[in-house]
Amino acid sequence: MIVSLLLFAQKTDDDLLLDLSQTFLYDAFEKVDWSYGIGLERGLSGIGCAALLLYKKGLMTGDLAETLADLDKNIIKYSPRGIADKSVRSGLGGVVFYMEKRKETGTLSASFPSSFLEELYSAFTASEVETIRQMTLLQCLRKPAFERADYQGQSTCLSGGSAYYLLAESL
Amino acid sequence: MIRYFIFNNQSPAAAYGIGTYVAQLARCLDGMARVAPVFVDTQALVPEVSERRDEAGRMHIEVPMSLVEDYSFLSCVFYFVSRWIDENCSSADEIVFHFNYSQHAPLAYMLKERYFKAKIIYTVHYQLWSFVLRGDYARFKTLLSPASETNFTKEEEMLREELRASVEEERRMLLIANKAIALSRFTENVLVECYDTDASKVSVVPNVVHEEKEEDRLPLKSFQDEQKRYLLYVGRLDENKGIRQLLRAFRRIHERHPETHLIVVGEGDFSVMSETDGIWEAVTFTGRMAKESL
Repeated sequence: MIVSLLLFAQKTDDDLLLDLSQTFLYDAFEKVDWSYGIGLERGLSGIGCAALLLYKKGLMTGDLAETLADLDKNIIKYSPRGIADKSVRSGLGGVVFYMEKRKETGTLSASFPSSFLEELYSAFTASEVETIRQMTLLQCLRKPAFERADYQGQSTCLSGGSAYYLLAESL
Repeated sequence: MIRYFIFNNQSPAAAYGIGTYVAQLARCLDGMARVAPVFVDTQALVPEVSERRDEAGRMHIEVPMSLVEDYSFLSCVFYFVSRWIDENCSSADEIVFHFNYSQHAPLAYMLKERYFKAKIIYTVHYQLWSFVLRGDYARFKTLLSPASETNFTKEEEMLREELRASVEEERRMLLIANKAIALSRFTENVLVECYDTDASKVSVVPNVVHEEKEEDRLPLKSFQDEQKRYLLYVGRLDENKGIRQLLRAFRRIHERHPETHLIVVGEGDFSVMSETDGIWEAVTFTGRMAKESL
């Protein structure tokens, strides 16, 4: 939701909203905890992907690996072998999606031990990894069941909520 | 034009004291041609931030309910108020922010940073120590005194910590305020003595209720006995309001002046009624009354 606000603020040149969203963003990063789960929709890999997107859009600056260090450490706490859920939204697929995006930035190997990556990728066939790699962020999210104009009283989440519409408009 | 922003809270509890104060303040401002009040109502029963004009034509920015009024929430309020100002005010306008809650201090700082020429007024309606110590000012001063002067128990040390933290938090609003309004001389003294507030910054403006019509002065139908002398209490039935002390005091007054009768208007903890045992006929609890009836 915060990412959607940031991108929307950037697109609409709303400096006030940008400041507000950045306040929320730093607050959210400070509260990152391994108990969030690892999925893309509500978990750690989702936060990581959000950060990557913000870097790409110039909304976050500085050393990427350093900024994501705490988040990455929390992801490593999970043993891929112990997770049966392979979906992108809530399971290991989300971590693969995040890893593939990190590869593009050239900061993957510095943050994740090879043993973790081997264990993670061994859970997927090469074609499954390729399918995930080619997915866009929007494809990983659920489109809301309601129309944009009917947002009142609905979820504000990025997946299945009104933040989805903001993101779709701002990307 | 003076754009006068009044920060209010529409929660049911706030409808009593501070809500009444804000309503009276609104009436005062209505008669001032150069002043355009804008009410920022938090905890409003609206699905999203909205603007509306009330029946008297006053502008309200309504912010929906939130379980906590934390920094994130106040940041959102700051955003919506700032947007409103940017869209509706000119650079020639003077801006005044009038706060009524000490926990809105972070919001006051955010607004002051953006609108540095704005004036900040803060009305001190309550102080935490008064709730905790039931208004025992002497004890408050003792608990705030240096540890070397008194031997405090472990429990008292914890209480001192809590009180010092509350004083610091409330001081934040007093520090940024250009003018602090105390509702009584007593509060003014507390602000100067224990909150290190500059005395010249504090004005005492007691609470008042506007009388609309001559007939408002007529007594209520049920209380027209000319042989009696009526005393009226209006407020929540809450320990913090000193309702038990009032009932005990009234018992002593009534013993010496049997013609007195106490009318207690308000809702809350009706267990306080036990304080009137033996003088039932001299005390009337009406429950909450509509403002118009009152």
